[in-house]
Amino acid sequence: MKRLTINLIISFQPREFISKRAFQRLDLLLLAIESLDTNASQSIVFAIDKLNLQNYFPNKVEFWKLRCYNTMRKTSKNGSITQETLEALITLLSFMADFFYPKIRDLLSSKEPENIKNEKWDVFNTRFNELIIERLNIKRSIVKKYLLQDQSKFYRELVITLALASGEGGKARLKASLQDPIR
Amino acid sequence: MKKILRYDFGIARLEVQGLPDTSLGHSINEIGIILSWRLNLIGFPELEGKKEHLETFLRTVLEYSRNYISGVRTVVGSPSSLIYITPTKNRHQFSLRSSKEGVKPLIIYLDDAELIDLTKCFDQLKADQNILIDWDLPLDQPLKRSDLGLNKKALKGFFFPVLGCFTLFLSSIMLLNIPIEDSEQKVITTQEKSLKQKQ
Repeated sequence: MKRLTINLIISFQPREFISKRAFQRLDLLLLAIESLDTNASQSIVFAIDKLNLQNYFPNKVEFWKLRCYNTMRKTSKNGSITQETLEALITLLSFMADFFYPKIRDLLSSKEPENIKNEKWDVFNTRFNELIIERLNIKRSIVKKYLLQDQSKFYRELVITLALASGEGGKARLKASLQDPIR
Repeated sequence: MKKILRYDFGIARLEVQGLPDTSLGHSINEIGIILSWRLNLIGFPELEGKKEHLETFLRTVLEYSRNYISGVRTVVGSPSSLIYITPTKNRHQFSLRSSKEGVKPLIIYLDDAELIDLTKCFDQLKADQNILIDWDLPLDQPLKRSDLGLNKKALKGFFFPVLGCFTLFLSSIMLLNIPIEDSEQKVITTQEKSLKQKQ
């Protein structure tokens, strides 16, 4: 009976923290934002100031250290981030997705001429691959999979996630999706 | 006294017309009673209806988008409901049924960008502090394992180990049923033969 009660308590606990896989997804979404614009990393710094998130990300180095909790990175570190920091990261990501929404929309729209759209996707894909090779541990099978799998589908899914995560409504959607059971 | 609130995003423009519910102490800038609404999606026929239609529309689109952000492409709504959305290869099929009799359902196809414009337009409506309506909307919650198709995956993962165990069990039973006595006798007789030959 006691064991059953313990099990019930565990299963009914709110899933406040996200899994490692979800944090990897969050970091990939940030990489996708950086692939949308060459000055995106600078824009992220301005956004941190604008959103008053300096307590969580005081400078670029601290922000980079936080992203190193992604175990797919070349220099990763173990541990977990606090719930507040996670909330701040989701807020920042939603804000950035909203900021770059016109660019994201251009990539997703079927009304764009095919050649222009392909050109935009090529630029995005090239930049994203460069960032993956530069920052992630390509010896890991999961990272290799990102580079080898059907890239158009994988990148499109990431861009759709960014679009749906933009703005205040998107923030709640993204947070809920990060707490999904691990696939 | 009537108030019109507008929400624009991309191809979507939503106009909500209503009144403040003075019995609940609403101010003139707020809407507590929705009289009508109009949704204009550029390139598609204009949609309009009552509060119930808007609520169903809002709930279906937001639920579909919630699933879509997790990579789940499933039908939301049912053919009998006012609206249902079906994912097609590259688009999203919206079937909108009129509450008037004899009117054929309107079918429109939106691409990803248009769907997200509509979602963000509805996000604005949902977040507006001037609309004081208790929408019956599902909260953004993590999806269940079954929604993500994880139960099927787990079953597939179990299939081959179970098949292996079953084959092992079956072959063990078959081997156990092979009579040992005959082979022992054969061994004895061959030994006897060899002894006789030696003698």
